[in-house]
Amino acid sequence: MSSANPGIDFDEEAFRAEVRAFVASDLDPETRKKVENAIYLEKHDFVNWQQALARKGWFGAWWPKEHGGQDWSLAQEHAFLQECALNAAPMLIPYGVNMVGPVIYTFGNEEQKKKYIPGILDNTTWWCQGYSEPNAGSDLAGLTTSAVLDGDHYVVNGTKMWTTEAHWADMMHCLVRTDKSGKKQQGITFLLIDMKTPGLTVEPIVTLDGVHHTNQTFFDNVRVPIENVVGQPGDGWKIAKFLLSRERGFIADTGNKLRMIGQIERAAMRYLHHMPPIEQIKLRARYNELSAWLTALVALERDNIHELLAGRDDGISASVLKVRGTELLQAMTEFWRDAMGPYGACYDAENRQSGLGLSSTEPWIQAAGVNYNYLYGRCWSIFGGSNEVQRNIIAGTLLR
Amino acid sequence: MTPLDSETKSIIADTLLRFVDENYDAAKRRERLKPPIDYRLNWSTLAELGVLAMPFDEELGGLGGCATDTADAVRVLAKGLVLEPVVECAVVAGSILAAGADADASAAAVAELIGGEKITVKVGGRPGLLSGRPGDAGALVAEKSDTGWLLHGTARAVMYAAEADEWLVIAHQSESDAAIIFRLPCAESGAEVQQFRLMDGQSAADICFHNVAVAADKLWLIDDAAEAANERANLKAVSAYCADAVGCMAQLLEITGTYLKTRVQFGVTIGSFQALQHRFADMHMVYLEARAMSRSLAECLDGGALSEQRWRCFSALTMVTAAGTKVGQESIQMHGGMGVTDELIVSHYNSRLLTLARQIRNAVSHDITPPPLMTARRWI
Ligand SMILES: Cc1cc2nc3c(=O)[nH]c(=O)nc-3n(C[C@H](O)[C@H](O)[C@H](O)COP(=O)(O)OP(=O)(O)OC[C@H]3O[C@@H](n4cnc5c(N)ncnc54)[C@H](O)[C@@H]3O)c2cc1C
Repeated sequence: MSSANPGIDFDEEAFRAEVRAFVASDLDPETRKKVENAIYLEKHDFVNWQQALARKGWFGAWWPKEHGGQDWSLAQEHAFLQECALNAAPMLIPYGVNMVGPVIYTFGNEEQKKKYIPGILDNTTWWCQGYSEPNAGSDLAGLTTSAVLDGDHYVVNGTKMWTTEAHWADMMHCLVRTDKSGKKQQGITFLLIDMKTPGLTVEPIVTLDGVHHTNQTFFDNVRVPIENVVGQPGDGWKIAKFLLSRERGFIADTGNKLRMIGQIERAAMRYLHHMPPIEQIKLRARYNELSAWLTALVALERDNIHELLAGRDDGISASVLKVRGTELLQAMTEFWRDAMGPYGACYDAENRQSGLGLSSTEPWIQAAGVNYNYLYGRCWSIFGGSNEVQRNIIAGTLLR
Repeated sequence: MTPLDSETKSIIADTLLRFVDENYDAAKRRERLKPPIDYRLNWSTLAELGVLAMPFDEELGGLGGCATDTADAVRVLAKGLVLEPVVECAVVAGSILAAGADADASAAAVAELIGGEKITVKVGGRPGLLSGRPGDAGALVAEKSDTGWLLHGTARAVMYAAEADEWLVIAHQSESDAAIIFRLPCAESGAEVQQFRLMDGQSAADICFHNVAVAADKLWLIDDAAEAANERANLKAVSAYCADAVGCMAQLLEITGTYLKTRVQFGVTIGSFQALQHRFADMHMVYLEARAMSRSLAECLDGGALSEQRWRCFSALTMVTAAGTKVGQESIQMHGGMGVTDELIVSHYNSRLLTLARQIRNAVSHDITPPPLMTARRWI
């Protein structure tokens, strides 16, 4: 099969089987159960899984060999991620391995590589991402958190908004303003900040699902050693663009959606025969249409990989996948709610702390898992560059 | 029925707005959502303000409000995202209590309700929906016994059933399949109650009867009278819930409109982006349709033919739930990250709209064909 697919340099079927077997043997069953049932995941669930992958040599295997990876192709990385998600492994937390790691091995100096790369690959350092601010969201370049040189330190003042999992983090990669004089994209610097530095505080933000995922972070004269600048002062925007383009690589998250459509089907079948015939017909038709959309999304994702491997890049494929993928996710979760019939509005965050979640026989408990997916699903069209911003990119590129 | 005079109505609206502003400040409400939630916190205030008396005839001690008046009141109340069973008790159960076979008993029951002494809710009686959870016995069925009746079956996700003092249980008679309504004090009902929380903080419960003996004197209405009272209550429920949804949408449009005019990104207000302008226009248009539909349903309940009322219910279900979903979700999206916070009221309105959509769906029959629209001259 490898000859038919340009750039696919591995036996995909065999590799997928190997990943499946590994997930089956090495993913903590407790964690798997949580993922399958939409129960709240704790820090150790993510860390333990990522460390299991590290032991296998698969964590960051898509990195270049010289930095500790195995040079996996996009196709192999895709097969790996899809297979993990299909088999109910937790998502990989991107802030280290897919964000700051590549930044450090691409733009960092030798000391920085030595100091930070091992902790990223063996998951002893939890990173968070401090870019957005209260007044700099879509307009990221409008950020104002300042860093002023004082001897061999930068003194950081200001606030970062939406720093997800900052309350679990050891380190933050942060965009700060070191120069106010030029264009707003200039004068931004990429800074690594130890979360334990005095003057740095983390305040929780509870989201609409009643969960504390994200935070606002405050900097009050936080002193950061000058050697924590990655690249040169003023390189921040260039580095951020490099990093954000990678963030959206596998944004369509098809492995999870393929698993979810199965969960949705089971839920729908369970309640369908309690509904009036006309509702049944409507729900069945919608289910079929969503499945068709997902089939197309999977095909589109594969198409993109092939295009990229063949050296063709239309510059918008990540944006397209982000918009279509998140909108399909939202449509799926809306359908899932409707398929729950009279229980479609039940939600109690308490029912996600532990217990059987989606596999509970009690429909109102099951609904907590469903509506968690619905509620948190609203975030997907906002973070990582909102869908409006993605459409601007798509149209802007096409009409240039 | 004729609507209240405009002076009375504006007094009611002012009173309700004041009630909402005083008791449903967003931060206060958020505090209240921490379990256990007291769903009766403002019940006596609501009684004192006369809100519970609104939909009842003057002979019964009510204010004499018709469906339109009720809808208008609920639309004002919507702003607060209240956590008391105003619609479920005063509008829906109240309509069945007022229609009791025994006029004295009816008057006494309504008086208790208006005074805020007792919370009554309707259990069962959904049109076109089979009752029963997966694996459960099924629809509520009443079987004649020597001393009265035996009640069996489950009603699912009944609003505020666990908080009520009294239920109006709608069942099928096992012999004739005709409807029957019992008035049961919850405490001695012998039913199994499983309470759970909805996404907007409201409460619902599954009510399960396993061959529970019901004394003959608990009978409230039977046969055609029971059927008609249940249907009337469902129609009123849909009208009130639609008004609630329209009120929530109005709030969201105002809040989101303000945000579009004030949030600055890229050096300009985000409302200057055409990508958002057209969608905001769409939100407003579906809101206007929903509001019109809600009004027309209420008016129809005050004087239209039953077949026309049924059709308007179905039309309202279709238009109002779709509009509510769009307005709710687009409002979140246009607020960016702020939209998905628990702190901002926007996501709470969305959750209420979704809950209302469920409730509306649960009260409307889907088994319907459109009437010949051209001949319904009165409504054109
Ligand atoms: C749950 C969650 C987790 C997050 N985690 C992180 C994190 O870990 N680190 C981090 O740095 N950030 C994080 N973010 C922030 C996220 O990237 C921003 O929320 C996002 O960029 C949008 O910015 P904003 O919230 O300020 O919305 P705004 O930019 O104010 O946008 C408001 C609305 O206007 C629209 N809009 C803005 N500009 C345009 C335009 N030019 N044309 C058309 N429409 C436009 C937007 O699409 C949106 O609908 C997170 C956000 C959320 C919700």
